[in-house]
Amino acid sequence: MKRENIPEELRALEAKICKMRQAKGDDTNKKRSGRYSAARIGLQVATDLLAAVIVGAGIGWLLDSMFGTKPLMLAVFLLFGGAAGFVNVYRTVKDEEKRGKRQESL
Amino acid sequence: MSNPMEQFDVKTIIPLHIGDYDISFTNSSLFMLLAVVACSTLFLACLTKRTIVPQKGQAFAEMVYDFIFGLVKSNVGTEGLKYFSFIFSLFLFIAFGNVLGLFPYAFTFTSHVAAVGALSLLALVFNIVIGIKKKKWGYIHTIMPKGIPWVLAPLVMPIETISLLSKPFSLTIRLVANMTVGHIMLKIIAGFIVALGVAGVVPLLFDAIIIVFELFIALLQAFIYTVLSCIYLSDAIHSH
Repeated sequence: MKRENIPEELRALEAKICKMRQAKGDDTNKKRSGRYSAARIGLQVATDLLAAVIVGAGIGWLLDSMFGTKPLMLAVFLLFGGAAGFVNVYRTVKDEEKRGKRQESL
Repeated sequence: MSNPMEQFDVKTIIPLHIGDYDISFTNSSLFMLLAVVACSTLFLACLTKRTIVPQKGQAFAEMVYDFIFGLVKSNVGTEGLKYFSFIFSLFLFIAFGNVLGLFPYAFTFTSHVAAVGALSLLALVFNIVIGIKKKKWGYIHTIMPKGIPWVLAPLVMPIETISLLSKPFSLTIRLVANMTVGHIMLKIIAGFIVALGVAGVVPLLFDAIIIVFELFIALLQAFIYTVLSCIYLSDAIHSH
């Protein structure tokens, strides 16, 4: 529905609700976002680390079977995967820090 | 006690073969279809009678819509609203898949890497296509960040490539592991109910509590999967 089609009394109601919310100091939206973030970050860090190692090993294994260099590529890409895992974790934590700061400043 | 892994077996319902490919209609496909039908009918039923001041059903539908809308807006920004329909469908599909899987005798397709992995791969393709469309040749900086000397390219490029490819994989593992673990736990505890006789009331009670918790996890995991897809999408849209 378009904004201009909304009847006058509904708009008055909206304004009234907004006013009452402000008077009550309603901050339900803010509280909700922070509640499960610790668990979410923890899980994300754990799986990010694991996923990178598995993907690295997978790529290494694939290259090995393509070029017949078993197990050279697997070893090299396993290490790359580990490094990528730490890069992932570092980025996740840095992004979360940024998000946290942005939410605080709101 | 029956095998707790038995519930994850994919069984063929209607066998179909094209060439060497097995595209049979399985219990997994059945529940995917059920999830689509269930959420479509629910939303259609809720939105048949639209009024300015919403009734219960309409309020529910609008609440879910608003919730995901806010999520996309806060995580991806206004440019991300173009992809809102994709994110909204993704959320509903996974949420319904998770919740339908909690019913007795139901099959949880979100506990299979193949099903969730395909969705994550879709997100990866989305990410790459949008990224290339937006940055053209500049997309190369995703796997070779600016300011890094070319001497280090053989070291940095594989690491960045793995990092890029591992994101959808990590999304998949998270959802699949959560769903699988919950269902195995339910089944094992349910096995004790019969084995313990009268004392089986204790695991029964425990199972009753866990299933409520699992319902919560089912919705939470669908939410987390959606949030992370949003963040993933925003990475493609906003270069870093």
